[in-house]
Amino acid sequence: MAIPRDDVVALQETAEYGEFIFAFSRLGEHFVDDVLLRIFEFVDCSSLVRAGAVCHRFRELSTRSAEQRTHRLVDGRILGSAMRTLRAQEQIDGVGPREGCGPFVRIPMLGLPRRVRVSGAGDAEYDGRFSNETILWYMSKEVQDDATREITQIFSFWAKLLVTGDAAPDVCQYPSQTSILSRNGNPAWQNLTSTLGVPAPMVELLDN
Amino acid sequence: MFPPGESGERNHCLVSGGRSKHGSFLLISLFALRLKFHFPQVSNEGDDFPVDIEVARMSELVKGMLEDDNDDEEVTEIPLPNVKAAVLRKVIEFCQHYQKEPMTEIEKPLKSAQMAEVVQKWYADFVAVEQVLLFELILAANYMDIKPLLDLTCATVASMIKGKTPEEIRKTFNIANDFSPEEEAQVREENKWCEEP
Repeated sequence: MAIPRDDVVALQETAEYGEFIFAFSRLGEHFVDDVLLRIFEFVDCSSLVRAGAVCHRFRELSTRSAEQRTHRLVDGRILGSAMRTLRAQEQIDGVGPREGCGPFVRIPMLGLPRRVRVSGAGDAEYDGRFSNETILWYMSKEVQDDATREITQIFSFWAKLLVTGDAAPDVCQYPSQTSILSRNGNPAWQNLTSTLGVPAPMVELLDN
Repeated sequence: MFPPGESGERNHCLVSGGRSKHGSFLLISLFALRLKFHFPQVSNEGDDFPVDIEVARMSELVKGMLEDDNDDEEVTEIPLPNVKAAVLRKVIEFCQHYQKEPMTEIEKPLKSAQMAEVVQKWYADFVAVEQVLLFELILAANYMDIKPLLDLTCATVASMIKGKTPEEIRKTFNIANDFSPEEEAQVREENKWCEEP
């Protein structure tokens, strides 16, 4: 049967048109999710977490959005939560508050029974050998107030965690090998506002 | 029903749009370098919109149709079942302005809930519309595959989410809370880390 393209009313009555509309409406069910995910791409982690508390559907899609936006971080780094991983990604990208307020996520890394050496931090308290289950992506220290004896954690430096694709595998396998990056003229550990003017440290693997 | 139109200019090709109970149609006739959108009187929203072909080609859907249109037919139909004529007018308005002043890329995530602070004023004003129209624009941009418009409209909705509490988001978008009290308590507990200083 010829499709009456010149006559819209007749066209709408054809089976072909009906199939098209049906197919399109089914497609619509899918792209509404896609549209919401696209909207969530523009939403920062804190707001996304709140959006996820709106209803079941938002919860599912906000989590999926966080997973999509952090897929590069997921391998090798375990935070147990897509949202926390997203916040980590935001910290890497310099989004949102870094210290003092707002959510802050520590980044555990794999392979950290291995020891690292920190040197040249400009603040001697950061220098030394470390072997721990975790190393912070933000370098921090605990400071005790002499008067109140209160202990606070001060964050001073940060480094971008490299993942495969950003650099050669020998650099990527352990993000702390910042001396390699520095030699190549790339930023390694960098300062936070509180340490501006203080040299950032080098961190190197001791056992390979 | 939707004739190619009579622009009287041979350097125009015609894109005719109409509205039925199922939505709009674009009828594209390739004569030369320009397109003209024409809403026939049957839609009760009749109006003509001369549009440069480059404007129409901002839609990947239209662009694909134009490239794939190898037959000798003068008119190519692009059904837009979900796009109302009024929405299509806004889409064209956006595309036309984009040619004159391309929109700056909107940073992700949004740095501000004020659209005027993340995109040029014209674009911020463009999306200062009723929520219903904004959603229609999103659907149209998504279907017609116009990335800058989709970015702008999605970012606008995102700006309405940014910094709001769950209850405020529900109120803004008229969303029902389908969590049980137990589920809600669990969600609150899981999200505690994000609210603590």
